[in-house]
Amino acid sequence: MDSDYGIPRELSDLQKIRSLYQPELPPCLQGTTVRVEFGDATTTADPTDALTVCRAFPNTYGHPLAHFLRATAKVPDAQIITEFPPIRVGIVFCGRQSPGGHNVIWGIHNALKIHNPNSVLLGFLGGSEGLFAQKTLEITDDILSTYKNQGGYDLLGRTKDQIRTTEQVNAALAACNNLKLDGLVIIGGVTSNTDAAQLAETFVVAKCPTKVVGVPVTLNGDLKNQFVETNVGFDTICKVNSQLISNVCTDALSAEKYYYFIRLMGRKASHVALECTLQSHPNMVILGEEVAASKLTLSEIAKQITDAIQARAEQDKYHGVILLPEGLIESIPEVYALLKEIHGLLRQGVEVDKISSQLTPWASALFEFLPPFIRRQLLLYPESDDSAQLSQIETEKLLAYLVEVEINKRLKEGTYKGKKFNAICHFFGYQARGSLPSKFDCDYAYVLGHICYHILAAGLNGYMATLTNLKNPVNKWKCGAAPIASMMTVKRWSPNPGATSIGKPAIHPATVDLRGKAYELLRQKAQSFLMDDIYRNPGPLQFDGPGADAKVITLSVEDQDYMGRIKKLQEYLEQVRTIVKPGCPQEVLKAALSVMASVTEVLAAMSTSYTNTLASL
Amino acid sequence: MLQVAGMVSIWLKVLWNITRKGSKILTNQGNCSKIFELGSSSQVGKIEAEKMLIQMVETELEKRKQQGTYKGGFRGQSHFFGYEGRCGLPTNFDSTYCYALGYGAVALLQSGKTGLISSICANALHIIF
Repeated sequence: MDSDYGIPRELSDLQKIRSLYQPELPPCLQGTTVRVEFGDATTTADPTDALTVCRAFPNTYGHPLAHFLRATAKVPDAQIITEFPPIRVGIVFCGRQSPGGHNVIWGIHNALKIHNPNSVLLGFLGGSEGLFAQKTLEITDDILSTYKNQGGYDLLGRTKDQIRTTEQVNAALAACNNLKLDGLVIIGGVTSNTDAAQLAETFVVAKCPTKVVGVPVTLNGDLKNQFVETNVGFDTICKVNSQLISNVCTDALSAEKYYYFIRLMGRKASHVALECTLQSHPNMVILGEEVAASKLTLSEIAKQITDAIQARAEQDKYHGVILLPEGLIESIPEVYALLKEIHGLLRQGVEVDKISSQLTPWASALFEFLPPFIRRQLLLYPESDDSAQLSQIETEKLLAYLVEVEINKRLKEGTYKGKKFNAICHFFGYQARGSLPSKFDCDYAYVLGHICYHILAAGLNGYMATLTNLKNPVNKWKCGAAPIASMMTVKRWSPNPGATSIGKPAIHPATVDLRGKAYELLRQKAQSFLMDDIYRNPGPLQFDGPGADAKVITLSVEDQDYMGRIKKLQEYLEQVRTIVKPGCPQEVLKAALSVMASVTEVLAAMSTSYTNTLASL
Repeated sequence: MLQVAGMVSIWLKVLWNITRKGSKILTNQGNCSKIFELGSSSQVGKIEAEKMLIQMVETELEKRKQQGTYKGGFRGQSHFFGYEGRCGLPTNFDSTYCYALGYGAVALLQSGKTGLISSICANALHIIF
């Protein structure tokens, strides 16, 4: 089993060409004279979460932002790192495979060897289980040669995506101590990075010298916050899926008799579905976030789709493409509640065939209403991140079935007079996530790998490598790191009316922002997508030509450079501090006080308003 | 229809063999009924043969596990590749090939021919009867 990992393999012509591609580094990371500048202490996005996170992570919460600058940057108090002792770093694939993961390893290895050839990078075989069992493979240039810019996680493999239980944490601690690791890099999404933060905290308490660093790699695109603009893998997944979707759109338009229901992998949030919709222009997309916000029932969603089909039928159109995020099923309130009951019973050890008789009456009624194939899928044991096995639940077939029932009902009532409804169902997931990474994902992952090195060189623990200003070319990217604890939120979930429980702090998956620009863009075009068949084929993933540098729309349309702005704000504050010193003219002092007072007043009001808005949701 | 009839007869043969072995696969109504519901050749894409095979493999492995000749696990993941491939942007080869075939078709028409297929091979336009 171990011999399968990291072996050189035979590459196709394209894979060979891709393995020779050398990603560019932003100017600030080139050479061995990178500077690190520390900004202010960080806080949580929602001020009311700060205390809870601080209590859970006393040693790693509230640490400052780190910015990595080029040697010539004119910043007064930046630290220049001049010593490069050899260090030992371990690396783990924790999340589900995402295109570009291999390049993170390459980036770290490259940075380690540049600064000190005696540094060692150890890959843990089989993901977290390899970490617990201390099974390692030393990464070398030879080993990396056939994995550079390649998809998948087969260099090291992955297993259970969890470092959470006491037993698991203790095993990780023992591994780091026994292997004398100076750093442990965890590659993954929201769950894995939450575990990384917990590990960092535990290591401090246990006085373990190993620093823990997280890297935002997940195809779901849901590790998104003020500090993280997008994730490694998201760009590739959306491009590959958009090609497949647009091919199906052309197919639909050619035969004009099928509706295609396509479910897209992307876990709970609908980022992949939204982005693919904006790239390929299918007729309809049902976002999980819209369903949750409007509290739509299963029947209401089916009715919504049927209304769309009827509107098209009135124009003699009997074809179409409908996108569904895989997390949709969990966004439907009554199905979510049913799943909670089922998972609760499964964890109690109740056998699968006895569960239906132990459900509450309303849950039992819903369960009986559902077709047999869906019932079997809802009974599957939950994933390691505690959500249903979304990839296995055929939501697209359920909805196609319900739509057919609704149309037949309308035919009998005489309100629908069109032709027969034909549905064909697809799940796009596994074939996209194993793709060769896009140029963007290769660059992004490689640079993140370099940043991991600089985080460790600066002696930081519990930080995540970040890059901002990503919609611009590589030479404009801003490199930095942020404490993972500052990315956490505290979910307040009430199983019963009136009862409130405060959950554990964690990085929760970012939902599609229904007030964001990307969603707004979708709403503007939704009617046209629905009726006008303006399908758009972006073609296959491209590594050359104009398509190679295309950025995902949800990244390009948003106005982000949070880290850059924080830094700019710091600079302004520093200028004020320089200009207004004791001994300066009275007029200058008065003007400064007046301006600062009103700025503070506005910001305080905005902060209060923001908190109230969140509270009312 | 001939194609569909052939496929149905193949599956009937398989089912007959399964029945004789008393396989539990017959308890799954979904896949079996799909086969017998066929109304036209346009539904070939809906036959979930891959799921049928996964279940048959599961049955076989379960049998071998009881016999002691198999000790591992098995998890089958099915996917049908069809509709997303057939309307893709054509490759350079397909673009060039079809353009040349179109050209050949016109040449045949201008020659007053009928009932022929245009085809291409190295440096020549061949006529096939």
